[in-house]
Amino acid sequence: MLADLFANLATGFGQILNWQTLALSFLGVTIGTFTGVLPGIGPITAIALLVPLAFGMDPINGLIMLIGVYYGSMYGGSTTAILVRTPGDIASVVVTLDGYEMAKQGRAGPALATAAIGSFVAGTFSTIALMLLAPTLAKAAYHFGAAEYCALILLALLMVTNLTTGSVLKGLMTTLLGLSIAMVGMDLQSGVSRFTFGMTNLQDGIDFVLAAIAVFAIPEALVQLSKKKNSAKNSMQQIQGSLWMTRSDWRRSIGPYGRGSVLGFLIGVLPGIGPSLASFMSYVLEKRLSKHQDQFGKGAIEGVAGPETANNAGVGGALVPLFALGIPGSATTALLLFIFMMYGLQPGPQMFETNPALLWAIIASMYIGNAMLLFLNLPLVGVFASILKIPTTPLYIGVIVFAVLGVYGLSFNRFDLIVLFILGIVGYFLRKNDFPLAPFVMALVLAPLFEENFRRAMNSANGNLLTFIERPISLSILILIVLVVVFPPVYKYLKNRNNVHMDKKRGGNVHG
Amino acid sequence: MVMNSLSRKAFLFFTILTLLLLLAACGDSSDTSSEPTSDPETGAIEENSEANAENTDADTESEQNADGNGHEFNPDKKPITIVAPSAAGSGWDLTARSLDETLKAENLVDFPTQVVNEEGATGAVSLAQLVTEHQGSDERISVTSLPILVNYHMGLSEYDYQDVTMIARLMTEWFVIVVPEESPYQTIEELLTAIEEDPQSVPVGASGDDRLPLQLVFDRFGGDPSSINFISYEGGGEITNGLLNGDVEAALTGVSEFRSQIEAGTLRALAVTSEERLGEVFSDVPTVSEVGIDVVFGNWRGVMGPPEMPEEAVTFWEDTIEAALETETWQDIAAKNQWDITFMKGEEFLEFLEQTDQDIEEGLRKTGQIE
Repeated sequence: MLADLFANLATGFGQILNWQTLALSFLGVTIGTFTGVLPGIGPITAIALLVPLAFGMDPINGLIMLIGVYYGSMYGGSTTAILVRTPGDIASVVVTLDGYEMAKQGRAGPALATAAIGSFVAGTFSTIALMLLAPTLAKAAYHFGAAEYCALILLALLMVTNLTTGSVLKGLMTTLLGLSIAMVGMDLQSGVSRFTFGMTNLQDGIDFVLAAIAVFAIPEALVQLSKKKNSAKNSMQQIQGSLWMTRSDWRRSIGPYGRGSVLGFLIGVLPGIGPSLASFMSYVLEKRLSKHQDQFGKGAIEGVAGPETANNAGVGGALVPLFALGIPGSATTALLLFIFMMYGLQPGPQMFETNPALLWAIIASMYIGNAMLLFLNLPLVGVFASILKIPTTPLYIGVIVFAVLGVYGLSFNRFDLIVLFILGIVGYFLRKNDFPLAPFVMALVLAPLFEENFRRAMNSANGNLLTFIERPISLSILILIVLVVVFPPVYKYLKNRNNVHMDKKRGGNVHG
Repeated sequence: MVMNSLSRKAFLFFTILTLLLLLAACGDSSDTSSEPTSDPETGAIEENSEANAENTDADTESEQNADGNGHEFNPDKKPITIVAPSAAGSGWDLTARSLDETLKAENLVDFPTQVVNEEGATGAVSLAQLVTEHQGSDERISVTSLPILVNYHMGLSEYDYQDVTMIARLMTEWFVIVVPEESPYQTIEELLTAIEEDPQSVPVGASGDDRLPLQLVFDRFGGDPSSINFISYEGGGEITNGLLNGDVEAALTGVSEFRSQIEAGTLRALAVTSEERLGEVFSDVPTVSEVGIDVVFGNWRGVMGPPEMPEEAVTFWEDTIEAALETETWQDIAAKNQWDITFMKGEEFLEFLEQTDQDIEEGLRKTGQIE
């Protein structure tokens, strides 16, 4: 079995080790990295742009290039999140929390470096996992129905306030704001429009990539640009110390790399959920496990390493249902499915038998592509970090320009720009008053997923709420929710009350 | 002074970023007419100049650009936009990209073309932009299909097919009703009977706007179409997942979405909504009319232009699309996707639309979705 695997992999490498394929793979991952860096422009735009070029090539070269764009774009996503608090995609929203703080402390270099290395670890891990586990895992996903999705998302939703460092109350308020804005748009199950005020543009609701750019990039730019001239100079984030990670950075990053890889891959396998949940869950996990909990939100390197790793591991995960079942779990994999079909290939249960050569070539190319990305991205750390030497005014004007371009590029609709600035200004005032905005974005992402899956679960189980308890996986997640989310605060409360009680008693005694 | 302190590297980075963004903008919105020096575009531009050369050789092709009145379409070789009113990877997007690919591969046009995704509200956002902002333009065409009719009746779009220039119908994609491999239902009648007996216990998966075919089938079968327990999904991938994990007992969608699963045996096709049996993996699958349910229902896909599109542009696209559908490139794509090429243009197309529009209104009314 293992011998077969190596023989297959060797064949795969044999097919791609020629200068042409390697050059195209390099082109793919390079374009991927840069599209990842640009906010709003995701892999889907870049792949769609390269499709005409790819069709002129033979399937192996074309697919290797396009899949290179896909995983390459995951590398760059956190760059602007770290440097200028502008998440390039939803998955890097949580990276703004600690990555940007690190940059403010002059540690942009280590933050970018740990993101690049974490991405590499994740890319390699998920390629191995894809190779070994694809058929098995794809089948295991059959046990994950709407009820399980619903429980998993509920777990995530209940942990949203973990993204805050300040007032929990303010965190809850922005969470609720996110939940309410998530209600805007046409309800998928019934086709009824909610809170759209008859506007066609609101029928699909507020795009969450748009929302993330709006509440992070615009307020940050406004805050920076509205600072007084003198203080602006002080706020320039000079790079201090080494660009490279210290020994302690390494020690603190290794755990998150490992956990992020596994978590990201597993969540990535589930169709329809996407890497945003993976990076968010990884952040919460690292915060809970860390010995430096108090540093989270103030520049903890684990808060960059974990989520960025999880985000990248999600790509390998997302390819599992695509290769093994022919099921696209996201818009990007749906586009890849189409490209396979245009080449006359049908991903799906038989692909491992009918076209193993191509599949193994792609897997082999992912090993090489990830290594290329590491060597491409590490030198870029210095280049990207030096962006911060640009004076505040032109830098943040640039941020606004890229935010506008990125948002317009989402669907070429000017209405989106109006939403961008309205949300941006709301975000500015919320930020001024110390309201955390990451919970807002995560609530916006999770609410529709929760609602849809809850209603699917209900329809499927004939309206019987017990379905959540009767299904073993769903029940396990619910128990986890009780243990992790409900139990600790209750315990704390009871303990406090006991203490108060004891104190009173003691106080009474003294008095008496 | 400030500029001096500015790191050269940072400047370089911004230049690269800007270049990249320009490149993205080139491919996406308009300007492919700029110098053919930028890298990934080169291939496409070369192809187009080849097309130019061939067109001057073969005068039949250059005549194609002119309409009856001698007006020539697009003499300045302006880039033409093909709009996919939904996200990349969706059905409309695939149609737009396949058309774009065919035009290029078969040298059918001597100007650059590109696909732009304008997603939102099942096409209604893009439709509104086409109607209000591109009136009279000859620089864009858009893919469209059944939802343009459904959206209007459901009140989800302000505009109707009559507000734009409908150019041609390209194809029809038929619907298929499937169950998972281990399902007890072997025939469509068994499934419909089970739904009739206890609709709640037979949840059926469908994309939001794809419910109508099964509702019509169920209506003719004698059931109450509004009683079906539909569960909505966002596309074929999610529905397949729902079938495999047991959330739904049956599902319907366009035939291309389930093909690989049916081939692999993980899903079983019970019936298709076409007039005659389909080929390949579907050759053993009966049509609903074969079992006595008189319904033929397909999702046609076509191409439309802005309102008041110049006549020479309409003629040009009618002819070019007709030619494109006959090429090997298109036939090949169509076969892979199980698209039934059902070309139609002009009066015939408009009559078809009128008839379908009435059917849909009636169907929606019957199933209680509109009053």
